[in-house]
Amino acid sequence: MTATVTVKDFAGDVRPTWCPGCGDFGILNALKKSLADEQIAPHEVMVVSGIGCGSKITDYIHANGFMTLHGRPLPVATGIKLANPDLQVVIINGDGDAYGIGGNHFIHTCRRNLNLTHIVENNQIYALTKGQYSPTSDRGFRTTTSPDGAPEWPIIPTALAFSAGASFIARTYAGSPKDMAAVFKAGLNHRGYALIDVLQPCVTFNKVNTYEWYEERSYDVGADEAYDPEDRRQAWEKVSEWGDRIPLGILYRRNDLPVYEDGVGALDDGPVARRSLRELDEATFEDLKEELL
Amino acid sequence: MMSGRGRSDDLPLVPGAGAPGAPETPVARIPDGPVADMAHQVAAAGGLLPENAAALIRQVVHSLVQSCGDAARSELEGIFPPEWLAGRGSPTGFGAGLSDAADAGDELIDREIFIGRMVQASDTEYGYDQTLGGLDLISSYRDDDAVRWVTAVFAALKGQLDLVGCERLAQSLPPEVAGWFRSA
Repeated sequence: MTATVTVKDFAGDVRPTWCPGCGDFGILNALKKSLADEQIAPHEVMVVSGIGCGSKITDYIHANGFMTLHGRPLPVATGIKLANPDLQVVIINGDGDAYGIGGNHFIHTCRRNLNLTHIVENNQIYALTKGQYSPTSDRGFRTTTSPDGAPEWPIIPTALAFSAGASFIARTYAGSPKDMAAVFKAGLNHRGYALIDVLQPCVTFNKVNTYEWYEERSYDVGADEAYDPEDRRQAWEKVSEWGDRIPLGILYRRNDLPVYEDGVGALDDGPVARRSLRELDEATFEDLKEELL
Repeated sequence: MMSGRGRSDDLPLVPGAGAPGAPETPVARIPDGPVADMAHQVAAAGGLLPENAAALIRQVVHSLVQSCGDAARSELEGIFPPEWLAGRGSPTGFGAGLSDAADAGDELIDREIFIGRMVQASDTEYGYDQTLGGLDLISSYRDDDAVRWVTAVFAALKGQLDLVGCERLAQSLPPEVAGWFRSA
């Protein structure tokens, strides 16, 4: 009998220390559901995170996990994927980690098109450090570091990803975990880099972008039968839209791009993770050992 | 009330709501009919003004509709205004088009997402969280308040439903929330 992966297989031993009501709970539920539905076993997943409230998710899910430095999960995930392309690599970090300190990595990961799924818990604030404005905070948002209101205009991550060449761009909402799981599944199945920006209420430090605020403005692009996420002109309009109306769903997708891994000559002999060290001659092995140690 | 926490100036202040230094609690117009009675009942139980209680009731209804879908709507029709029951799958509510016309609710909504909007509407700072060690957060305590408020709404709601309706609604709720409902 074939073993079936269930949501319970991903249950962690550690109780989340997120604030009660945090949108991250919905993201965790949706992630477990999407992995189970796709029959991806815990040992086949590597969750890579940075630093922040949402990045603690690696502690709360029973799967391989790697919590990296602030802003650095994407290059680490890149290395992991290149070493073992068979792993389902899922990056999960917050808006500050992904679009602030990690912004440079974000731009270049978009254009490299490695087969990665990137979920950004976008609560429009730096929450772990108790409420500073972030790259996605709306202009005028008042915090301890912006007592007169944030002076900058926010970045729109979906537009930035589009400009940088991402091949899958989606936005979803943490208050609807069932819909979020459907989008996560699409991202997991996409061959290439998949950005999923999740609107995630921060119940403690962001009293402006609330559950109600997101729900009043969000709409599903899929409700329009005429919308084609593979049409670049239509997609540009949607990925750029923010404010009074916020589009959710798969905003843009293209399936014709090669993934980065396919062009790496060093992987022609197969994934590094599957190669035996016994294949190396003694001199090469000793050089490698010295370099590693 | 300090304004250094990203608060919108659009939310009206309700003097006297809750404890001194209370948050700027959302308000809602109190519809005529059963909701007016419920608002006064919840206000008395929760230590709120009726306008705040009405807003709280609306939030709970919203959470019920999101998690239970049509199962909640069928029990709550006639008690609450139609616009309060709009949600996933309905033509005018949030998420229209995200699912089929039949709305089975969202089985992935747990107790945390259910109470999220209630916790977010309350003051969550200015205190020491002894469960986590000396931080200036009181989110953990607000969880207790949110559960208490939700339970007060459930008690008022059960007065509007028959036993069969109560049990049907309870069976479609997330497990812990169903426990609050049954014990309310």
